[in-house]
Amino acid sequence: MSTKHDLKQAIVEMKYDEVASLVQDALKTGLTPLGILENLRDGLEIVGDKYHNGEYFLSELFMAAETMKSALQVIEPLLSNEKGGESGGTIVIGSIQGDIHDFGKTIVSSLLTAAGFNVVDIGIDVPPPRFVDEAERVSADIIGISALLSTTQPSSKKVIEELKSRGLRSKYKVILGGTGADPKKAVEEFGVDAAVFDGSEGVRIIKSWMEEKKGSA
Amino acid sequence: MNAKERLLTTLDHREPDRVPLTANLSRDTQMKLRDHYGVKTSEDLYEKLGVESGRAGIGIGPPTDWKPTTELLEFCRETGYDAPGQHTTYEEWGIKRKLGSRMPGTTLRQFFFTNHPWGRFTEVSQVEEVELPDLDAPGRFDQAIRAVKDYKDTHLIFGGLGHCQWTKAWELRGMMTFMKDLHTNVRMAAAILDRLNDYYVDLADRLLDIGAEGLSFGEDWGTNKSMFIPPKMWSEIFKPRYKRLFERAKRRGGFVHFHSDGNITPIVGDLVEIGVHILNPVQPECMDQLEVKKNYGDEITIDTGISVQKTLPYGMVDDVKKEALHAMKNLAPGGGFIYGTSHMALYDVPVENVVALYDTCRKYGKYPISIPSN
Repeated sequence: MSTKHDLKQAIVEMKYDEVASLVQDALKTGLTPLGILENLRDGLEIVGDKYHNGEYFLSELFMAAETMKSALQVIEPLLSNEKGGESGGTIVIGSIQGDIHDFGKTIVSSLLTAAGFNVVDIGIDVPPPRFVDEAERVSADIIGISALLSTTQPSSKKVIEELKSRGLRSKYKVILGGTGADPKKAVEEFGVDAAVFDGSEGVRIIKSWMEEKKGSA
Repeated sequence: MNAKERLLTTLDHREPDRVPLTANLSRDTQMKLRDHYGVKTSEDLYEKLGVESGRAGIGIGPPTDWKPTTELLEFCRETGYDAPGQHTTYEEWGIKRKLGSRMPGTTLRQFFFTNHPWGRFTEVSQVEEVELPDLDAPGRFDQAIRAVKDYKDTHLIFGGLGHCQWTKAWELRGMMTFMKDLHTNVRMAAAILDRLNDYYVDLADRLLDIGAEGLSFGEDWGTNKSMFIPPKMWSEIFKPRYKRLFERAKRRGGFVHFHSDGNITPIVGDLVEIGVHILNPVQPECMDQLEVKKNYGDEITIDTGISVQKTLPYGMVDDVKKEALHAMKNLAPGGGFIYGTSHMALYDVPVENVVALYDTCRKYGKYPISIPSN
């Protein structure tokens, strides 16, 4: 029989093939879907910390997110009517025009999905106005831009300019992610709200923004 | 001392007349520099910069009867790569790609993958039975044979294996799928790597038979933060397979050149142990180069260069000089050192920064190294 500890450990130890049956067992023991979700998310928090501290590596971060997604497939249909089971927020995410790097964005998307966000992945090589179009279309809370090259990071400024020109700048928080990102420079020069080169750090910031937003609502 | 002798001297951990200089310049950056120096060819530009790496690469080529399609030629014009090389690395394996957007300020476009042909395999037998590009096809090595003849006196010849294990595996299988294999389906991962390993051992032997004096590998193992996979997994799964490949060169007294971007600090010791002679680029933004020199400087040559993520595109001329001088002062003494750009200098790099880099290297890269204290 699955315990809360087992569920958390299933994520920490990336038990991808076993997690669905562990969740089924937990439901049979009477744990609520929301209770199960909280334990799984605790596991994901631990994985994020381990990655941030250098104890875990990228493939482990990815596999933990995949394990979480496998568990969510079992409990998500049961969560819709429970308070606290709603989406953590909606984020539109894509690699900026000229940048064809997919991997970092996909990992962050997986992590955000696993953390309970509604993620709208608009792909790679995305023209700046489309970030805004999509954010408006899906009523997003946050825009995530991936740019791994020194030549493509400045294009994040065009997303900010597009938001300003449409009078929408204050409506969205914008985060830039990418290996070469110089966070201070990106915030100062491109006008994004945050810049990171560590995906787990990005998820942490996005979560804190959503908590702030919900707190002030 | 010609460029080959200079390179061989530094590889032997002795000080040549000056630090061997390399350059990895995008087509746009090259054009700007040619205008700056008033020269018409890459050869003339490299002469102005003082770049003379002393090495040349040979590799597998397309069969004699191969003709590039109009689409591939257009693709290669847009990306800046040569058609035969692209064909043998990607198209011939069934890996499909598309061009990205054209960006202002550059003549080049990037590409992205649209199909990973082994991604659909569910059984190990499918990996074992899939047909690989035929190494016996007529004409495969004609260009390599000519290059050895033309360059062997002036250049150290490396047989290029390029993407041969990790990178080729994910190109064929898909990055996410192969990563999942490594964690949940090790049998499949091992089958893919073994199939590739056998193939590239065969290719390595043929290139060495032709006259390669070493083998070069291009496998990106790190992000700026850390490695893609846990170092323990790397040691268990990849280390023995690389060792087998490296030994093809080592048993004939040849060199092993290993390229990996990113922070690969945890596996540098393993790479040295299994026979890497030259490590590139020991990425300056994320690895402690002084520590690598201190720990392994007697065993490997550090083939590095200035930061192309920060200093070269964003720094001022003084920042460029400072970084180059720091490298010359701390990494050059005793040999085992090659310098230039740590990766490709893209189109956003100011011309004056590249000029300052090579001016500094020519002036202060002469042995014995003497750097002014202020």
